[in-house]
Amino acid sequence: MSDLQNGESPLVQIDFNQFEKVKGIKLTELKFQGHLNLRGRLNDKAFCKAISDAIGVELTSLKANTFILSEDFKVYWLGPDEWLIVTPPDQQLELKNTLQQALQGIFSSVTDVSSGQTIISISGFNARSLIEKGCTIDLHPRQFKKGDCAQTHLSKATVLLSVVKSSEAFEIIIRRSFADYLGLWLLDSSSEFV
Amino acid sequence: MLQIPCPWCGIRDESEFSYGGEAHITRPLNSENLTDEEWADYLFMRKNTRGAFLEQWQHAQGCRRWFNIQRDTVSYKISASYKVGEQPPQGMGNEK
Repeated sequence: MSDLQNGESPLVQIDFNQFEKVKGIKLTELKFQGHLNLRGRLNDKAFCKAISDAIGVELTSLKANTFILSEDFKVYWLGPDEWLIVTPPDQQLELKNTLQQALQGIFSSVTDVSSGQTIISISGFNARSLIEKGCTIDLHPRQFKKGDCAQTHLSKATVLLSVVKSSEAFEIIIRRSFADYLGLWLLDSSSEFV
Repeated sequence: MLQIPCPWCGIRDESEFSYGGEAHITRPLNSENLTDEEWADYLFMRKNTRGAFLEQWQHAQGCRRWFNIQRDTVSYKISASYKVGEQPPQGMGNEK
């Protein structure tokens, strides 16, 4: 049974209505997306071809610290031999089976980590200021623009931060156990923009 | 705080990294023939260099890869950063 049927996300205790009075920040949770962790060797041509046939993404051309949108899937670079595929809700099992079949006999792994993390979407003209309060990397669009992602700290919590629209719209992938903490921190930090 | 250049992710804050000690220590292949002293030397004995030092770091909160840097233990200046398996830039190396 997926979380969708149980209907409880890691951020269930955060009152998102409170963000409505915050100026220049729109904060929502992208609930119950599928998250697949993919590992394999880039110098293995069979691996790269299997992935490109299955999801239409050339992993060799996906630069470090960037992500790409392909059909319904988002593919994030996590490391030189590690990627994260985010799927729409309840499509992860189908994709996992497709990938595992395509990768049979190839040195690789596909792991469903959907229930371990969730996504917070932050947009608006104050979005960058809010994230900058707890993040040390340079979020200015000349450094961190649309299509970029970074694994870093946000207020000491390990996050995968990505830019959906330069300087204006960000997505934060956060582990389930840190989600509540980060939600409360975001609520607290955005109080200055009320 | 140190600003450490990860070969994959670029310059990031020290708080994202964990330290791995001296670099380029290779495990002896003939461990069954080593004396206790030689084995202890491999396991425990490390240099305490003043000046340029090659050391390992892991980008623990980022891409989770190990890599090596050359850091001056006096000025803390980092002068090189390279991937595991690569040789240090020419002319560099920890003293034997």
